[in-house]
Amino acid sequence: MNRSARWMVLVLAVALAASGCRSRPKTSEIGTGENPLGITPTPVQTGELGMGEHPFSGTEVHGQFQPVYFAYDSAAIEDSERGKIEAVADYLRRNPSVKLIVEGHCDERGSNEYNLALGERRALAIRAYLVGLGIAADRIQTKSYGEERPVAMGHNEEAWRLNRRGEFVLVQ
Amino acid sequence: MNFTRTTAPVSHSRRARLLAIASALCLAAFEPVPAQDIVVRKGAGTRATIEWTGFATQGTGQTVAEVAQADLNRSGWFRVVPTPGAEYRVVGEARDDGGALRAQCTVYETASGRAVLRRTYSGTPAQVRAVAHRMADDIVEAVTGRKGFASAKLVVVGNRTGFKELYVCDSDGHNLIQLTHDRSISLYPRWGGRNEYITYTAYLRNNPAAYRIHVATGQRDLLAGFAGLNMSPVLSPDGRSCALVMSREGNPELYVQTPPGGAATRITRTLQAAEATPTWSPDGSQICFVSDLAGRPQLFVVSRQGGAPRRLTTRGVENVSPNWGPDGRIVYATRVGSQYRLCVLDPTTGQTTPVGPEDASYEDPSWAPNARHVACTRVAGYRASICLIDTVTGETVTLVSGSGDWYAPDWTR
Repeated sequence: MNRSARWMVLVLAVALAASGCRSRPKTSEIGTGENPLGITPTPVQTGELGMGEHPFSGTEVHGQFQPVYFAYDSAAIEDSERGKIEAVADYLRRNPSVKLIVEGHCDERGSNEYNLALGERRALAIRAYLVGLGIAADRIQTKSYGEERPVAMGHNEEAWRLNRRGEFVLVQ
Repeated sequence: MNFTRTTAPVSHSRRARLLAIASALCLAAFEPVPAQDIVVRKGAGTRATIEWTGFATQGTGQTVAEVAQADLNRSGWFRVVPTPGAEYRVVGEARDDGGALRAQCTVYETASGRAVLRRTYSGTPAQVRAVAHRMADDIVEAVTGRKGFASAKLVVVGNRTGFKELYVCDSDGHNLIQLTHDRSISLYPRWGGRNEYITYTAYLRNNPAAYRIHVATGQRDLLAGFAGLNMSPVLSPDGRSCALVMSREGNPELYVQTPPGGAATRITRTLQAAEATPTWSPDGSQICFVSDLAGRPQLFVVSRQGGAPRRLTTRGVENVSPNWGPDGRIVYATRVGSQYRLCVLDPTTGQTTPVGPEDASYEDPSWAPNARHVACTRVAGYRASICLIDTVTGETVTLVSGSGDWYAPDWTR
């Protein structure tokens, strides 16, 4: 069983356990227990990782990984989202020629330009987490869309929650 | 640190389309006649009545009278009345004689009988609105001693094509011209360098990059297109530097490039925060910007040389989109519930004053050249339009609306 499959089993097991015990808070499903990759992320500050001169170009593959969700006006990675990033780290480790663009997105509320900066902070936080998991910083770039590319079109809490996200784009 | 200057890969067809716009934007060539100006200063908030009953028109000249009267009503200083007995009286004519437009006006102060303005104008019939705007500004300045804004222009973002593109229009929303045709996302346009340039953020390549358009020639330069975020480029008042936000060192930070597109100096170092929307002080010595260093976005000010930023706003959960006006006051948007309201901040005293209505969300304010009116985005029912707010009286009129949404206006100054 490779790492990814092992991780999936673990996630399923934790999810099943959690669903059978409704009093347990949802955020404990993934990420608070044993690290599925067996790697402890090294804390990395976003500002310590330069991005380089030139944006990546190449064939882009969208939608292969689950989006990472964020709280309002926050770029902090929630415990519940760490497993999603760890899955990407696992893929990148097994595919060393693939590069990654992390897209940062925001909900429609707030200043358009501030949201561009906030979206960038979200993408950079995911990038720093990946670097902390041992992925080389020069394989990962960021791209903020602010509030320009919503996935949910409503004007309500649920739409906003789905739009505050980081997305993964593989570049080959 | 040195950043290299780069030139954008602008295709010929793209440049040609920008060029076509440039010629349409050229202002009319006027022949102003020096007037014996007698400056009468009126108090702000009170409107002088002005009658326009002795003004003969012919052909497109009628448009001069109509546009100039609308400008005077919009100026905040006048109320145009149809009957004799007003405080001021406009006498003159506007004629369109076989391809040449000639206009002339004399403004009398009724009480003294003195002429406070006497001036002639000429242009082509196509410049009829520009002639009217110039006449209105001359009347405002002659009577009040204050600069008008009728001849100023706005750059705005519109999405009526399905893409966010830049548009330019007159101070009354007329002559709306599409400036970019990039089928991309264009954001936050700002005039700069004595209105010769428009700087903005666009996704022409892959990630958001900072551009500068030379309006007269249509040439577009890439100011910053590094990996990560390059956004909110704003030229300094002398046009020789450009403030912008970049993340190339790993976090969104405020930088100043001198010259624009050239070597950049990092101004902020906030590893746990994001910066956005710089705006220069009128003398170019300071930059006000948004940072969420304190958790939520607030206004800060910093020397253009760098150093420790000083927090400007302490009240309100969220204060964004500052615009530093020609008289030294900063207008910005403050969050009230789920909406924004405009506020004016005097950075020398720290005093803030809410301005304008609260019936909708008012965002992205930009001072008009008179430091009294503000153009902004008005969002109501999830539709965005451009409106004009008189910060003295609170009066609000719509400038651009319909055919999609309109955002982020900026005035020439």
